[in-house]
Formats: sequence, C-alpha cells, structure tokens
Amino acid sequence: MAGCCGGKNAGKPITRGRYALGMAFFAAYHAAVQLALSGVGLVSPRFRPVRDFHRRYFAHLFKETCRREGISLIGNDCPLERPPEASRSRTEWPESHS
Amino acid sequence: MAADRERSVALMFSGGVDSTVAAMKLLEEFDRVHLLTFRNGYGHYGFGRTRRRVRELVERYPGRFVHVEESIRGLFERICLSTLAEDYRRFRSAFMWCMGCKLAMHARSVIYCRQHGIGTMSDGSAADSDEMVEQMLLSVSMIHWLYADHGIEYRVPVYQINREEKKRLLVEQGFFMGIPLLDRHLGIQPSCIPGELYYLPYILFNKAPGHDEETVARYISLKRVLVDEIIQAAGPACRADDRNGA
Repeated sequence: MAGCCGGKNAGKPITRGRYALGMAFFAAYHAAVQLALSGVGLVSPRFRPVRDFHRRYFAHLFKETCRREGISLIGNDCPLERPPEASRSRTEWPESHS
Repeated sequence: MAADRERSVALMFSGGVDSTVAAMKLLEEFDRVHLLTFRNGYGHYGFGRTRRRVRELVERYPGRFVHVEESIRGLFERICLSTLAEDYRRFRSAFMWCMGCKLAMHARSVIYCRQHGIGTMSDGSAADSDEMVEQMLLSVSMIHWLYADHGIEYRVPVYQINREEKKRLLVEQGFFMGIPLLDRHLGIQPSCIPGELYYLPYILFNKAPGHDEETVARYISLKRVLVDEIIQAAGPACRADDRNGA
C-alpha cells in the first residue's frame, strides 16, 4: 500500500469479539449477495459477469480476512497504538482548487 | 448571457451530509444550483431519500434548485462493467467498481454542463472520507483535470470542512439526519450494495481498502480515454447565446 488510502481507522486494533462478529456478518452478507446474484443471473444475462466477479472477489477477500491480513487484534499480533504512518499522510488541498 | 452562466452551478447530489452542505455553500455564490443524482442500476437503491432531501432544500430556498435524477447504467456498463474481469485481474482490487461508477457520473456531469451551458461543476468530496477511492486527493485532482480539459471549472466546496461542523450546520437548520451510527447517518442518502461490500472490511475490521494511489492513477488514466470519447460523442457544448443560465 503506497502512502495513502488507509482511512483514519485503518490498522487500528480491534477486539476478538468484534473480529468474530464481523466475520459472521461479512460472510453472511457476501453469501446473501452471491445467492441473489446467482438467482438474478438465471433470468438476466447482464448480471452474470457481476455474479462471476463477485464470486472471485469474495473468495479472495475471505481468504485474506481469515488470515487476518491487514487486521490487528488487541493483545495479539503487533498491537498498534495508532494507524500506520502511511495511512495518516494527507496533502493539503491547494487553495486555488477549493 | 455570460453573467447568467456564472450564476449557475451543477452539483453531484446524493442528499448526504457532504452534498447537502455543499449545496448550501454554493448558494452563497450562485443563483441556481442544479442537483444531479445518478443511478447506476446495479444494487444502487434508496433514491427516495435524495428526493426527500431535495424537498427540504427547496422548502428552505425556494426557486434556487433544479433537481435532475437519471440513470447512468449504460455509461457505467461501458466504462466499468465491460472490462470488469480483465480489470480485476490487472488491479487485484475491487476499487474499480466505485471509481468506474464515479467516472460514469462525472462523464454524464460534463455532458450535462456542456448541454446546459454551465461552467462550474462540484461535488461533496471530503478529506475526512478519503478512505473512499473517489474522494482521495489524487482522484479529486485527476477529476479536476477532466473537467478543466472540457472547459469546466470543478470545485469541492466542503473538502476541508470538518465532518462535525457539517453535521452541526444541518442539525441547526433542522434537516432530517436519519439514524446515527458511529460517525455516519443511515437513511439520508441512497445505498450501494457493491460499495458497502468493498468497504465492509474497513468498517468491520479497520482493514485498509485495497487500493493505492499508483493503482488508482493507472485506472483513471486508462479510463480517461474512453470517458473523453463518450463526452465528445455526446456533441459539442452549447453556444454562449443558447445558454439560458438556468
């Protein structure tokens, strides 16, 4: 990740409970969307590429999330007191553009 | 006529905190604000919320707003969906759904401004939402040049205004604020299921979204050619004496 784009909460540690609940919600939401896309894809061809894209994306993201890539748990891993420097950098918006 | 042109501005409008405050800020300088609301046709729903916000604005500032709501499905399919699988292999991230959608909205906005003789376009991009790919400073800068190359000034009137300050302005004026959840307000603007899915790991786990500046810049540059083609194909800008300033 280059020097941007994290958002103000990126990298902040979360509790194990939040991770567990989050995983349940994450999996349920994606599964529901995949199910809906599979159904819609049967009747509307325009949704088929979206369905296939979502399937690949979900599989990739689910593995990442299970491995806790980019996710810090409190009292585990390397607990961060603050977001990584990269996510904090922000250039001031030039006056002439605002 | 030139004076008329200067008094109208277009604003990409969802009805959320940022775009509502942007609409009010623009009234300080312009006579009329064209509120442009776009639907991409793919899991993008809840446009009644935008219409409610428009009604609130019109009640407070009668005669100052024009609301246009339209589908950009065709543009979105052409700019983003037609190369979705290929782009996902290339960029290894799903940010291009959101960025592609936003580029389609900007392409349509350029066309709208050219057709209506409007010289200034704006949106509610904000620095405190810069985890969102289309609100990163880099994306905003590249969009600025897209408009500039088509003779339109692009402004982001609330970019540096603190979110708490924006919320305070709306609460003071009695705007509907929906259901507060963390620092967001639910039910005041349309929702987007794919967008929610993309930012879900960030919301749930504080996991940084999967895009970086270099990748986003490459994507925008890649799509910029197509966006320019679409704008050119829509026809020339209206002549100065065709402009009605509305």
